[in-house]
Amino acid sequence: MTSALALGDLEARLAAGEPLTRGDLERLFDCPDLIEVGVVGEAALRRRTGSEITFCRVLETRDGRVPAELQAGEIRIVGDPASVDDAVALVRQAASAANGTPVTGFSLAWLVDRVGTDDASLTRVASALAGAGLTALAEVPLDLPLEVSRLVKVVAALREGGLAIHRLTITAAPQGRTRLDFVERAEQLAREAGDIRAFAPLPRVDPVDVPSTGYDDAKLVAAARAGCPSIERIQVDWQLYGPKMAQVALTFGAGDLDAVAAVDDPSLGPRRSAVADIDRQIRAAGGDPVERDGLYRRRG
Amino acid sequence: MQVERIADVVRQGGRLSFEQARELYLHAPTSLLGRLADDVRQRLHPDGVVTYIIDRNVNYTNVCVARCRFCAFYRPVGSPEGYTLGFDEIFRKIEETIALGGEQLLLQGGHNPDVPLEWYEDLFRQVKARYPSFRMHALSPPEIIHISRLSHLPPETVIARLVDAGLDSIPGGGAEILVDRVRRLLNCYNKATADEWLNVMRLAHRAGLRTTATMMYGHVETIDERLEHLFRLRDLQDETGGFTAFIAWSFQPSHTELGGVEATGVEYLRTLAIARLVLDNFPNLQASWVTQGGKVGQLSLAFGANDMGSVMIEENVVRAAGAEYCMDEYEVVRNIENAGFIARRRNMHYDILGEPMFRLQKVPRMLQLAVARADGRGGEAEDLRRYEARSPEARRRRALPQ
Repeated sequence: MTSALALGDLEARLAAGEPLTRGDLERLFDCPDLIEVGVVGEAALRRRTGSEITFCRVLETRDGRVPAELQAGEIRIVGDPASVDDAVALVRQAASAANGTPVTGFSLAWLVDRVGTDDASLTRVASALAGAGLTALAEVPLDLPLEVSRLVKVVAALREGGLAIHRLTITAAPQGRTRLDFVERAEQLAREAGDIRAFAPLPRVDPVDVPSTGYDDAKLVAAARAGCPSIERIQVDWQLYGPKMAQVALTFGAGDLDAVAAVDDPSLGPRRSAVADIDRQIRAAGGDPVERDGLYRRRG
Repeated sequence: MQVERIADVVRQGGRLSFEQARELYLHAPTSLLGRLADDVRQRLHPDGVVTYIIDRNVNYTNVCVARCRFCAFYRPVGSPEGYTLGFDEIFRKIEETIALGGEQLLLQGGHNPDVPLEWYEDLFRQVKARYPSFRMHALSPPEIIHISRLSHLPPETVIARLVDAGLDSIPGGGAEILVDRVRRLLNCYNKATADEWLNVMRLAHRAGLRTTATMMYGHVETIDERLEHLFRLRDLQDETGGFTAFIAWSFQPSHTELGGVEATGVEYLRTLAIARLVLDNFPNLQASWVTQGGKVGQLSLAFGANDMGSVMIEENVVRAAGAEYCMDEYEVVRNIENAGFIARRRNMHYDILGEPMFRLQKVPRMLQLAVARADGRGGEAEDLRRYEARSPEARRRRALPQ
């Protein structure tokens, strides 16, 4: 095992506001001393956003239906509609019942699949979706096979059509240090496109037979926090990663819990966390909870 | 700063007092607790080996008169969902375990008034006759006390008879929190007081058995009571040296009478770390992936654990309370190696048995843990008819012609 303070120089450079290189991130990811990785990740978190940990109650809807009594900070349309017209109809239905709650939805992967990457087409579709009531595209997966320079233009085109683009994700990715490629892509995209509020570095799809490990997840979160100073929040999906790993990620640099359930659904089991429990979990990880909405605005 | 002064005590290999442990547990940053615990682990296990065992966690009966408020597994006497496995069912489980490279059953069950001492003796003898090298890690202290009460024999006699029949070691279940105020609130005072639990372990150690110790935290206990639990274990280990390992897990509230919310993942890691620091005379600390999940289970290796526990093969108790995690040998080893350690199989005594079994022979993947009975049916096995029952229902049932 490496000796203590193997990453002490990284901590010092972060404290001095210096950016980390790819080599630094690889050292961080390869360091077997997980405690020290956590110290670096948490130091980067504190430097970026202090002790404030945000979370968002998200109502996911596949068919556009939204319950009347709603505590959500975000209504997120999930799934891949067959056509843009279907998507517009879904948005219209969700927005009609949203009562001011931001409606987000869809992945850039779906949009590119339907529309391509032509800027004008993207702007036109974004405009149609925004006109129906969509406030933001739910996710920009960094594992899309597009150069960052192209992604920057895509984001600009979508914004021109009226959609906010705040959240970067990874759908699926090989395990191990190659995931650092996405950390680099995230930082570059955020730096060049601006106004990226959150990056969720843990992939949304994890193989059941060989899932990613706790060490790799924690290290990736720490590397993302240390390697993406242009992004306000490193995000973990509460329902996808579960309360245990999501909470522990807060001690490795994560600063936002996404997809907290907006309705009390017993079928979610331990992932059905009420706001009081989210509050408890964040405080137990040493943070101060702040609820936000789908546009990353503080609620209440 | 007080925390830093206490941390220095640990760094210099000193022993923590109750007050020092309390100060660290309450006020040390999680990263400092982890660092200290990891340093202790490295001192105790400088070879970088993390161990695990291939054994099967079999619950021979879910019928129980104890009615602990934290338990979602038990069924009362007479319940149609109550079951007691037969010898043949247990032999089949042993054969499946051997096929996976396993060498031991962790056998525990409810306090069933209709399963007498002779049943256990016959079971152990038959297991040893059929599978001579197979080991029986069986019957937690409250079960020993229950059998002692049923048979009107002192616990030391029960232990001696079970050892004579083939008992190899005793698991540390049923400890919960070794403070009687807590045990009364959990309704587990009657199954075993704190002193009774410790005394069974003392007797077992004196009889030459090795045992483990556990702690179930995160229900009605205070921080001081968690620490009292740890210090009582440390005192007994000073006296006997018979514990091989300590395992902590958080109370799983789903479907239990007690209910509530589960302690958090960070709290688990902090609790594990403080246990590593207090229990300086325990050679091994296990990660509880079955309650924390594989990811936090693996992170335990950075917070003082040097053992990934068992691949389990089967699990019934924690599953009943809402936790369903599974790690087969392949996954356990992958997690150990991914964390930078050397994975080695062990037995209950922590003797190293060798390389991972799946590297020596073909072992099928296991993506879900088995249950006591795959078809979920209740009822007791026919072979129990040979034994004396205590409950009126079972007496009537067993008196009927076959």
